[in-house]
Amino acid sequence: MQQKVFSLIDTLTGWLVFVIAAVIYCLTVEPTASLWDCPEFISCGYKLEIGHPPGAPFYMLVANLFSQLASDPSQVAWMINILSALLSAGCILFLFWTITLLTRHLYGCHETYTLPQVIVIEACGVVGALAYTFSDTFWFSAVESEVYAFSSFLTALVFWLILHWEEEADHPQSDRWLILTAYIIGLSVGVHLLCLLCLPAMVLVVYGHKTQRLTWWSAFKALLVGGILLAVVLYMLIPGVLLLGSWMELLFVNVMHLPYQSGLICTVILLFAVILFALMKAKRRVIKTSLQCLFFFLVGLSSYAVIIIRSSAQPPMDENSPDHVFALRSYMSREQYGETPLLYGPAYCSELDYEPQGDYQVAKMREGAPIYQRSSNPSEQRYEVVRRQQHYVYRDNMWFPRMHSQLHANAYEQWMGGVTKKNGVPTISENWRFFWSYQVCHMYWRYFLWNFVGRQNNIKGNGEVEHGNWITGVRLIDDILLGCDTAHLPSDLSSNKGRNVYYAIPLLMGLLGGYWQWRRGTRGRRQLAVVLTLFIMTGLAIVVYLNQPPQPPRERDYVYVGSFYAFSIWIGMGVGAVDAIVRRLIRCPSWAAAVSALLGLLIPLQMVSQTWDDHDRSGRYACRDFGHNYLESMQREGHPIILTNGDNDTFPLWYNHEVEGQRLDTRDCNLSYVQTDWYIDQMRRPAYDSPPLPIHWRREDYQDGNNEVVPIRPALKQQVLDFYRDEPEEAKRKFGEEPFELKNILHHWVMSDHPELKVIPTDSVTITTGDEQMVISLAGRQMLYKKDLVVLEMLSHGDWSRPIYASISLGPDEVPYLSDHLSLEGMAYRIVPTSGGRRVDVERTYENVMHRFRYGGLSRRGLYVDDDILYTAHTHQYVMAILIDSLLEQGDTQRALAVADKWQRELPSYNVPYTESALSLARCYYVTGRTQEADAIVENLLRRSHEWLTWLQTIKSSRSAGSAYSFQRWSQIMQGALTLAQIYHRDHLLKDKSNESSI
Amino acid sequence: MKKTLIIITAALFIIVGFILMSGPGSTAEAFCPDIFSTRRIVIAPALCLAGYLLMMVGILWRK
Repeated sequence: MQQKVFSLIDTLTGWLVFVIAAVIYCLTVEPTASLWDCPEFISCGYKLEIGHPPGAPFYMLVANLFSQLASDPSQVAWMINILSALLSAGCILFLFWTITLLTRHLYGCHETYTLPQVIVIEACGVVGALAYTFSDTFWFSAVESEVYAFSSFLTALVFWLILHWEEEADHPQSDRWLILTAYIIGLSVGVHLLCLLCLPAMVLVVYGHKTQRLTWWSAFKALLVGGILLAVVLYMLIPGVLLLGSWMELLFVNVMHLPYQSGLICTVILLFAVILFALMKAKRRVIKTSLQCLFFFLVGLSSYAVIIIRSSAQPPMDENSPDHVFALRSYMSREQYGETPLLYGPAYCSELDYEPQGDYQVAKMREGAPIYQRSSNPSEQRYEVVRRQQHYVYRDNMWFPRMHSQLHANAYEQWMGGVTKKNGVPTISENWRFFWSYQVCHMYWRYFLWNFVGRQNNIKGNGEVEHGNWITGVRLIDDILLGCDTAHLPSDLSSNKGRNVYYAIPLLMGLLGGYWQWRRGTRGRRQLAVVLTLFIMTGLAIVVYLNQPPQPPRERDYVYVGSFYAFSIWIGMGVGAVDAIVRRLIRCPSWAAAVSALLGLLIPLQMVSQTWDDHDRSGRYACRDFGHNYLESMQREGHPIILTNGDNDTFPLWYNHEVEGQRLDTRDCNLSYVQTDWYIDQMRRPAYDSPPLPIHWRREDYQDGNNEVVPIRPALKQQVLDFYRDEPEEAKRKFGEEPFELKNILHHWVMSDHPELKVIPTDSVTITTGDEQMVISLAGRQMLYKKDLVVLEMLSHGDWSRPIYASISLGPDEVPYLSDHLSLEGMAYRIVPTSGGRRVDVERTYENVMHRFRYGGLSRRGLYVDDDILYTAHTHQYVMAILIDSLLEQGDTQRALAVADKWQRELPSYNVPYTESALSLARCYYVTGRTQEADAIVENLLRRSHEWLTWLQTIKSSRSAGSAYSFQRWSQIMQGALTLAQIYHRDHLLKDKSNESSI
Repeated sequence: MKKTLIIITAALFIIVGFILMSGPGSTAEAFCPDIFSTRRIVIAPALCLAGYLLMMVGILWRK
């Protein structure tokens, strides 16, 4: 067969695979926003607002284009999800071509091909590409609006481009492929940095091409060069451009009194001019090409202008407000997330270093770079240093600290079951034990094996036997792996849609493929080195770099898609290996090739049979509707404010505001951001129909570094009272009419210009409105953070006509001083002046639950409800249960029944299984005489708790500690169900379970 | 020559896109609905994107 014919077949088969992937992804795409960062990305794309650091400006541009294709705002999310689906299919396309290109070289095909060769080469491509299409992690990000689909596409593209360059390398104009690669890598920074990790593998390709043979030494040299290149781009080139820009900006604005941004714009012009000039002078081809690569890399990087320009417009969503080069520097270097020591630094248990200062010992600080902000005086154009960065100095440091985060001290101890320490830091062996057992095995290999061996379920795992482990699907092995009897799983686990088993066949195929590649001569060994480099750089290297502490808020498998991509190349090549084996059994090479191709195809088919049900997100509107319900929980009058906290608590609300334009009279105030000055700035601006929040401070009062924490000193209370008694006039002049009125304390103490007065001199403050007095107790607290001060400031004006709500998922630690003043109105508590513990506003909650809430299509049978959606759905059930209880208490059985029926209709148990909240539901049915329905609920709870408790007892004792929570929870549910059955004399239910309840 | 022309056109697209994207912003006193005008969040980003894509054509264009 001629090259031309082969190329045609190869191109067409590639597009066929693309179409398969695209159709499947488009069929399973989520029709609206998904949880986590997706609602944020959708809003950023649609309205060009600013999301979390380090930003994704190029993604925003492309997403924006797709959002324009939507017929109305409710379709915007779907269109941007479709973008992910198409880009993922594009990634599959390039994966296919990458595999066929590599395999072609392994067969040494040049110009002519035999039929069996063509069959095997194409089969390698199809099997590898489809296996990746149907793999768990990749499919997950292919059907939602995250940057990972785009980033995967770009990774696949540049990897293919460099191989393509190698094909044409001897051609005089082949350099354009290298330049294009540099340009795309520049663009990819505006999507996600992951793409840069291809660099070492790419250098290896170039190096291998130049030397034509690969020794250990030359491979090492090439990798070293690749690593240095990566470090230069990541740590010198990108930050260097910004550093230069910030110097110029200071020079232009502060010294030469030119307008803002002039220095930055000049830097950009100058930079391009210098490179162009050098390009004209350059003679040697290598230097010319390198300069062109640099030039176009910077052109790609220029998409970051979108961030500065749009942030300058001060949109409602403007995270970190990167509207000048100094803020952009901290935004792009992700300063917000704190420093992670890699080589040398403190451990989580390291003691601070102290130095004497007068009579006290104070923590030693290392001063860092100055932080510049625009002058708060708008008539003056200059940058001012607000403070210098401060870093604590630790007494005990160690090399390669793996347990470093002080916030996670308990988490480390828990994971390790106690840590042996020496000289104030964990011993070397403990350090490595954590690195291996948690970071490498739990946070990398577990995810890897999920994709190619099997996944236990979709429940977030922290090492418990019942949550998110990898399994093989072979009972004997799994019993040993998990240390329990997997034959008698509770139905909740065995029917979990996230349970996918592949019997390790894709893994074995991949290993076989890698081995086969290794054995195909010099070319094969060179290829293996390249793919292996990609595999390690996008897998284990990220593990080392991220240095993750335990108990992350969600599973992190999506970070490692690149390494699963590399492994899929080997899965594809497995067909070549199988063919080599089959040929020994079947003489005719064409038949042998066909048989191995068919055998290979079984792998992706088996995979999709497992993964379809937990990746089909069609018909699911939960994220959008739950965000809507948070907003609708607030009353319509008075421009209410809602305090929220985590990602899933906030981003769906943003989506409803920014994209669908829902409840623009309300404002979301995220408590984890409100600690920062840029967010308080935004809260002090009007947004849509919502007026500014009532924060009447001077800018310097909340500027970065000021009033971050304010101590509470109840001991001063008596002194204050004495002062008011002895010199009332002077006291009132100094500290206001009422000493402990919140307004006065904030004004005269906390925001005072005297540093010694920056305390709260009492543990109980009052807010007086007319005759009413609200008392807020701060007892037991040592200090208040800036975010608490903001909440108190908003309350201190006593303006109850503008209600403030706290979202239901706000943790109890977030606003503990308000726990006495919360009134439930749906998915949010209203903060009320009267005290009296948490209570329920039955009328409002009823109205919201029955008429204003939407339930995300959860009534549809066969819908995929994942763990995070289940969590919020259960919160809705919890609210309904409270409402039912309150209505029953009032004797309003009719409305209680209406709520119960709504629950059964909107959040039915086949999608949202009953939990302890369902006991209220059952009680309601018993009270109203609908015993059959009540019995069904109690029976369901008894059956499932029995299944759980029986199974939990099969866990071997060394691993059972992690399951204590499940055990306690299901014991309580069983107890609750039995008690209910007893109260209503359901003897047959008790009799059935009498033997089992002895557990 | 044609190659250079394409690259310059692409660069112009990007720069004009950025210029169209700019404009006044919201302040503490008033919310500025113009920040979401068609010029700034529809035409401008489309122009920039067209420029970035055209740049690829320019790079690949044979001399």
